[in-house]
Amino acid sequence: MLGAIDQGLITALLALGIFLTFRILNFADLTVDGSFTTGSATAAIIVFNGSLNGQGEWWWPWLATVAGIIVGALAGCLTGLLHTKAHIDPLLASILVMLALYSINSRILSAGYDGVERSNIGLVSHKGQPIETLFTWMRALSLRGSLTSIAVLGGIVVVFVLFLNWFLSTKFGLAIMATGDNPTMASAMGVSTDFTKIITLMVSNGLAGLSGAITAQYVFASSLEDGRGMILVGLASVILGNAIFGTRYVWLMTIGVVAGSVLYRIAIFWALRWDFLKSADMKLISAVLVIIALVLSQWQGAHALVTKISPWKPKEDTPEPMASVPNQFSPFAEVDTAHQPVLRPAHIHHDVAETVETVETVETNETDKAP
Amino acid sequence: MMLRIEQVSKTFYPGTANERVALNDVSLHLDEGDFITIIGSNGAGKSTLLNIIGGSLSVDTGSVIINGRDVTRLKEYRRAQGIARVFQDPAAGTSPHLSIEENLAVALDRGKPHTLARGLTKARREEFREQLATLEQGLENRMRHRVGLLSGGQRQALSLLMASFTHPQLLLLDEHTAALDPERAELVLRLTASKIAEQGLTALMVTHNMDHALRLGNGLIMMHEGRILRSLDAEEKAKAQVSDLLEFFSREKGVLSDRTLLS
Repeated sequence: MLGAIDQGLITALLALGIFLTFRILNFADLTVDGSFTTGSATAAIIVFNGSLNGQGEWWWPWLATVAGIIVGALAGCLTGLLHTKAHIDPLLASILVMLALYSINSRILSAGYDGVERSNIGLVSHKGQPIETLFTWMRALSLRGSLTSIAVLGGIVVVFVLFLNWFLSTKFGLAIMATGDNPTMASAMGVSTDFTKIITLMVSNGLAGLSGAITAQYVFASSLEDGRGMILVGLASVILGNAIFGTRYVWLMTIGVVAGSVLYRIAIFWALRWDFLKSADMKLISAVLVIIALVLSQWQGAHALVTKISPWKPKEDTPEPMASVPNQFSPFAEVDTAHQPVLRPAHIHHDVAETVETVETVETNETDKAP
Repeated sequence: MMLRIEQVSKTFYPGTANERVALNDVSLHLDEGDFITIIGSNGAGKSTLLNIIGGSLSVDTGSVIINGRDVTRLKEYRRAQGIARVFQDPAAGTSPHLSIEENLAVALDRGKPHTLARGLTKARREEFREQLATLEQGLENRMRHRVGLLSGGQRQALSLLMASFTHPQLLLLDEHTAALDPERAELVLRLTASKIAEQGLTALMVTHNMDHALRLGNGLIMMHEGRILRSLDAEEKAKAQVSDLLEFFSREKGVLSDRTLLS
């Protein structure tokens, strides 16, 4: 159970990245499946080489972790460039990068000092020689899955939650939110939407890479298949967290994402305790959980219930939940509008009719709208 | 000369069955402080003209010069430093999921580098509160509310404020009252006139409403099928009536269609 919380905290970093692209930038970025593994493989191979081939200095695991962030960010940058400069659809651009990363990850995992080709790597020891990762001391004291490990990992997550909230409250952060929400307006306000998109994708995938790097060092292994389905895990966390904590404030949403990630892992943990299910069924359980979360968040009753049992009541100047604003761009458009009537001024129709009437004498049947 | 448009042409879908000449050799000069209204039928190229000035469309030939600087090849977000726009669709000019104050913060940074300084400070909030009060919509008490839940008229009023309060060199209004009911349209129009007058802005306003076109501004341009048919200066405009405009349009249209038939 505490181990599940550990895992949830580690994937919370990835979920925060997914929150940034899917929720804030409205960019369906599937790169994370690849960049998570890239971060994991890079970190694994650096601690492997550092402990066995290098002198085993203390900074190797730290270097590995930072490298995980950097390679993740590079992957995100690539997706961003494909989308903004080559004008490839976000979904397609990110799938292309994800696919390409599979080969690159294989190369990275085969970059051990001994030249052996690998599709997975163990990080406990190699040929009797111990390997040092960030969590070796925790493993030695059997502290993984204890309050200590939760405190350490929780500390890391808090740092990044604070970072993300600060980032989004800056002028640049507001420009990013505007880009995701209304690119036309952002561009007309002098925001380079290409630049904001690329940077956001870099931050998001950097977080995915970090999550991968920490996972590899925490479980003392890395494999090419690590990232498969991570996008779903992250999305489930975002949907679950936002449904429970609401979308009134960015900080509340980020906290919700972390909580969602932990809850998700706990749910999987309990599901797997059921003897009928094997650990190979985990992907199936993940998919079912995501479906349940998606369906539940569309159900008005669930929202009413959350509002009712929530101890906190909105005040006069509390912003409305983001989810209550209809938005055609959002990948969650269905979810967003499900519990709120679409707000369109009712008078718009007869008003248009009237406008047409005034100009009827100079009418031609063409439309003035530029394509 | 504030704005010079020299012999701009634009054709959509060239070489296809849908080919449409949107602008045909259009030239236009605006002095500082000019407020010109543009009227014309659908397909006259009014919006295309504004989009070309704003930079969301590129020209086929010709050039756009603002304050002596050729901006023809400059991207939209780079031009935004000097050009502010209000769109026809109330949803286009504001960011629905952001709050009123966040929208204003983005607008305040128009054309400035987006740094990692705080977007919303106490001083900025105070300024926004004062500015919002001038709209007389009570929005100054709803600064944290999301713009997506405001009415169309309120959103257009906010768009107008966001476009004007940074003193842009040029303000482009693209049928910004067309999607509002007559009462709201009147209000937004009144705000437009007062904002432009207060700050001495140079502005171009496209409208379908001839009455509005005559009431506001110190010049009027009539467009038809991608050409400027006629421009009225302040003096002519003061004398003109809606009926004069209509008459002129129908006469020109007759001449034009005759020409088309004969050619």
